[in-house]
Amino acid sequence: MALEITDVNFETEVIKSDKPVLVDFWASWCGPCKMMTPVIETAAQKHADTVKIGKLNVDDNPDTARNFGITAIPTLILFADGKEKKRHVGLLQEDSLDSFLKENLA
Amino acid sequence: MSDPLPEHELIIIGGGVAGLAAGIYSVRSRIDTLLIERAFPGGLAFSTHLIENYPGFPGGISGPELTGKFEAQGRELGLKIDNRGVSSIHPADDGFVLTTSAGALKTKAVIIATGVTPKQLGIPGETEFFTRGVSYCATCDGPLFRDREVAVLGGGDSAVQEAIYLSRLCSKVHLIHRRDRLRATPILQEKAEEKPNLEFHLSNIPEAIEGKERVEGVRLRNLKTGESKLLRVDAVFVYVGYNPHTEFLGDLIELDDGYIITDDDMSTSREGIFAAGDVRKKPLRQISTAVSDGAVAATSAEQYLENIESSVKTETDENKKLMLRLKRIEGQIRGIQRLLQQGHDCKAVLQQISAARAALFRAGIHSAVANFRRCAYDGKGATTDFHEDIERFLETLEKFS
Repeated sequence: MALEITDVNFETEVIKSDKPVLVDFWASWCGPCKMMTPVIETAAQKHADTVKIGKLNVDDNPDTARNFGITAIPTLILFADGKEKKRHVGLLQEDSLDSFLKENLA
Repeated sequence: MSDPLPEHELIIIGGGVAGLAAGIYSVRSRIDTLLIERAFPGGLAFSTHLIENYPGFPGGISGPELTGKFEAQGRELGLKIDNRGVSSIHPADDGFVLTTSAGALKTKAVIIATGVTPKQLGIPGETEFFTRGVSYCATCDGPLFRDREVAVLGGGDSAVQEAIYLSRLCSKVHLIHRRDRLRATPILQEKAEEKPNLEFHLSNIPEAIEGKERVEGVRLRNLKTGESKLLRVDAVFVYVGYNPHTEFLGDLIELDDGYIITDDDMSTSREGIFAAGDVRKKPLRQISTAVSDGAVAATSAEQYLENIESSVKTETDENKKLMLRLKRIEGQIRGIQRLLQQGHDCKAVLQQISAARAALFRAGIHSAVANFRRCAYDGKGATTDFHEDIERFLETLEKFS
């Protein structure tokens, strides 16, 4: 299961994480986000060794969404050492997400 | 040997309302149908916040809800929906081969329902700030600008409809249109005028979208005063029209300004390819007209599939008769051999040769007639001109005699 990231736990789960973290910014009213969900869940299992994968609901957690200037969703941000390393806006299929992680986790 | 390509009777390209309606009709006709969608089903209707002119839903229905129902109904009836993009269509033996992002596919008939994509305005900052404040879908991105100031560019139905929607979320909405009056339907204009936080900027041209990291404003030039000013907004929603999604077709079928030309039965200039929905050249692009197109296209495709199936059958029957004729000619040839072996006179042998030759000639005529389509068209595809077809047929016959 992908981890639930919130305004409250963002600091501890993402910024202070030892492992890189991939955060999926989403909302319940967003169709493409719903299509992203199974892809994210699969990736969370498949890549559990190398990356922590979480989901952040932008409606429930407006502060974090605003801090990172989320102006379109789904947005995926890969964090490493507490900093934004790479961002992707829009739906990704499973193989594209795999290569996104592979390229940016090296 | 490589595996044969996955094959279907009908492939529908595009999962908007036209494609989904076509799919619902074709699976109910028990046609082996595959619908291909490159993103997610719903199409342009998905991104409409509130649909108030599709009959059957008093009070209106949201785009995601309505298109979700279309999709659910299709799937319930057995419609297969595949997530992949199509990059080209090639005519092949007995149908077409589609090149897709997930391998090639074979099909006997195609319905193109690829719709339209929002047009870009082409002003500085538009591409640069796309997904960073520039959006073509208020339903998709509007809620991210709750309680902020935004601008909508355009003056048609979509622009006004989405400005009304945004006015419920955002602190202020600026509607910017180059002409001195809106093009939108009067009922929408009236609704828009009632919104206290919706401000009209008519006779204004957007010149550039400005900002550093993200959109910070849009620069407007007033056509009446010539004055230029920066309007501070956090997002710009562009609704300035649409482009048909047909570039992947090349010159496969006839287009007019990018839109597919069809007959009333949704057939295109190429036999076996049909079109439905916004991608067609037509006077009104609505959900209701897209649904109608989809139903008609599916029915025409069904008729087409039936016709090619029955023509294959008659061709086979004709071929059987032809084989019998050839067998009889074989017998005649063996007869001639016997006559020669037995030392019969020249006259009898020549008579038999002449009879065999005449029989062979008739077999040729019969073969040409039986395979009229194949011989006449010579792989060039059907035309709609009967005279041209006959001429091609006669050319084929001349080559034979």
